[in-house]
Amino acid sequence: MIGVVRPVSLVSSLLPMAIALLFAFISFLPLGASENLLTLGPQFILCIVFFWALRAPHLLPPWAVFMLGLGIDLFSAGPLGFWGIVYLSAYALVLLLRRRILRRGFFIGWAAFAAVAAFAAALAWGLASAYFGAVLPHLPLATSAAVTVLAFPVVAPLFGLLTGARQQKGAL
Amino acid sequence: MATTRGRKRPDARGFITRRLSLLGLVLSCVVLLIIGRNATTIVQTVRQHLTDLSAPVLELATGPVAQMRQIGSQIGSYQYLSGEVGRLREENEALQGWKAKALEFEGRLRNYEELLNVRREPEMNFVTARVIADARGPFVRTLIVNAGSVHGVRRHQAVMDGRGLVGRTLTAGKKASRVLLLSDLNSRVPVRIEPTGYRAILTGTNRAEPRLEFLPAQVSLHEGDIVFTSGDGGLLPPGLPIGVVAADEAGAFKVVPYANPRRLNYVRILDYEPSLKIDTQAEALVDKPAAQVVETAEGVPVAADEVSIDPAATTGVVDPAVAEQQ
Repeated sequence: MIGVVRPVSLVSSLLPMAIALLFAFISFLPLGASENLLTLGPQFILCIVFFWALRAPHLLPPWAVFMLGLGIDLFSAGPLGFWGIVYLSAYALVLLLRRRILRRGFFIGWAAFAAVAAFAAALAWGLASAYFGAVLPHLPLATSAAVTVLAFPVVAPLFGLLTGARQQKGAL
Repeated sequence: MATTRGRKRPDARGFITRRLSLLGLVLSCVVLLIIGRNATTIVQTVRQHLTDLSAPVLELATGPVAQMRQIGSQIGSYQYLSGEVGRLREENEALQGWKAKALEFEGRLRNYEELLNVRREPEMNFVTARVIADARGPFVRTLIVNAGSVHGVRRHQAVMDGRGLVGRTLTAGKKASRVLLLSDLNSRVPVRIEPTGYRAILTGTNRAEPRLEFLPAQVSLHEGDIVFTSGDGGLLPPGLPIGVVAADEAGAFKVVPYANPRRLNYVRILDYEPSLKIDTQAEALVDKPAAQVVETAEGVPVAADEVSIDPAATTGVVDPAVAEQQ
């Protein structure tokens, strides 16, 4: 009844990674975000991790999430392994909640995403504070998580269209 | 039934494999986090190679972005400028008076410096570079610019926009370099505050406004006092404008920078060579490289290895590798 989407071609198996790389690339463009609040912008990678861990985890396996995190760490000059821990933990949380969310309607899915985004932001803040040995400002991460939750209803249908998977109307 | 079991088995296998690989990968990340903290040179080299590799694509992608931003700012400017022309005309007239005064003072200062035989700072060359990436993170504030070692860019060079200091170069690749912003947690810049002349360290706090640290105990600063680089340590040139003093919520002093690193298209990377003066009495030190000679509080030059000095204090800014290890 879960109805996982099976890979039909190499293109569909590479799709989540390609989309993630594209969003990561866009997030690094100098678009003139504010220094304090919207420094991080929406965490599109988290949307991708959530969506594919829920809908088709075999298309975005854990090693792919690990590589994404590593790439972002290398490019953003952050500590190696940091985003890997955050994204893999979010991925694990989605796998735990998966059976309770799938095909329960969009709003349940959105609420679950909000919980995962809050968990990821709290984990990122705690991890960064522990790494640097200081209580870091939590507002940029909290704002980023809120913006990501608001952006999710826009990007999730787009991912759905791109995967081409059949689903019930209104279901995630 | 057989068919159902047959279909369930691969899913069950995938379920267990995914969880095991998840655990293994999270542990790998933890190991990387620990290794990366100590092997910073290797990590920075890999990072710079990645930056160099991605620079052509970023450069291509940021071309239209820069143009769009310029068009956007122009649209905004037309409305804004219509009301500003009159005010700016008046301000310009007032500034002409200030310009005459500044030129007069510059002449006077030159005369005094000649009278006192003051050694003047060498003229600085600079490289203009375009910002091609805004490498953000929750605790990392860096930019990537399209100039590298082939253009004469080196590590630890001051980076400015038209108004003030933006940061310094953290790594310099062949055709692209990474700039550590003043707001980054690892940024430390020795500064001088005018008109009081106090010296302090400007420390990045992950917010737009860095904090002033290591001020004297009984300090009297006012909002609006101007902060410049002090040039202490000889890494960054002295006298570069940074911003103005403001009080933060906790009652400490922060600095509102003149430069806005998120609105940058182009930056200037200054090529500064500190000229350390070696006293003729210290002939024994002549053979030592300039970087290994420091002056004591009394102004007597001694070899750096003869005194115990915090490397951060001598170089003027803390290397992220050092900061991370601390």
